Amino acid sequence: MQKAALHEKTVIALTINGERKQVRAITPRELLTELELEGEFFAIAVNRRVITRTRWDESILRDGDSVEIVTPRQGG
Amino acid sequence: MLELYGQKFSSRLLIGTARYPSLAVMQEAVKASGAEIVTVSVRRENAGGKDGDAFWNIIRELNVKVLPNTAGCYSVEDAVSTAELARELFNTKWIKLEVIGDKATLQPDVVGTLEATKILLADGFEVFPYCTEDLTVAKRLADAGCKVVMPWGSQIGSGKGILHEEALRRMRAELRGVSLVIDAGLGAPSHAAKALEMGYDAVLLNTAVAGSGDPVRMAKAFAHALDAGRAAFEAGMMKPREIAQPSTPVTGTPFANTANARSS
Repeated sequence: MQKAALHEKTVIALTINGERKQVRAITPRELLTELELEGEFFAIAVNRRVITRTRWDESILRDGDSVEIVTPRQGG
Repeated sequence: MLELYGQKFSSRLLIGTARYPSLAVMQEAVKASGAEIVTVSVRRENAGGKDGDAFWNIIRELNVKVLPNTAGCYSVEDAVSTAELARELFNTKWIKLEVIGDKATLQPDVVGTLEATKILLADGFEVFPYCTEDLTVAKRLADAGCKVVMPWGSQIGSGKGILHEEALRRMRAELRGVSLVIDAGLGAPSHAAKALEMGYDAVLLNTAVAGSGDPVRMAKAFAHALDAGRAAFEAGMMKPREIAQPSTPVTGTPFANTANARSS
């Protein structure tokens, strides 16, 4: 309980898709929820390293991290 | 059959999914083209991820093989990172590697392309490198382990066709064990037919279909052209000759060797 309360207060600054944002999310999964991303098909890299979908609940985001959130799109 | 990294395909067309008037037209054009492989890209999420979902659901309905690209990357580092995101997103080892060297011509940075190719091959990717007509670069890419090499016909989106025919014929002759795909610059079905007549294994195009007046009809036109080009290559084309040779037999020509008959 105490840990959760502490979690509530923690705000970190991330660069998300090139824009600086303050967030409360600790994991990539929480970040997607906090950003209200409703899509299903994403890939995420933190500091240029891909975080596989299976690790979205366990990987920890840190203050200053640079996050890329990408989706499939038209291409030639 | 077209063979790309051990997988076989009956269509010799790889088609892009960008620049169509709508997703619905794109879907119909891909179907009409008969292509079994489409190129796609990786982009930052937009509209909460809904744009990506809408597009991806249509691609999945098409039931085609997906070849993600690294379009827009100007450095080895960006291209490699984008390839890694593409592998995660599309669950494929295939990557159409573009390391661009010049904004105006979108000419590939062939030095960076070779460097990124080596990194990605070592990491288990199956690399489809976009390169120029330079024979040495193509050979280096093949030596590095590429089973597919994709030289340009001309600049991306230019529709000029095959600008360096002699160099590309030489490349075909030298790189027998590699699948060669003309990528970029094709504008007309005749360009695609020519590529296959020259012995190229396949073509990759996008704007020629997407930017035409009727993408679905143009997709069909390309499919016919590719069939024609491949059939011509397999049949074996005649060698051009310097002087005329009558196609109708000369023997038995009426009035031969009579008064007033003229021959020279």
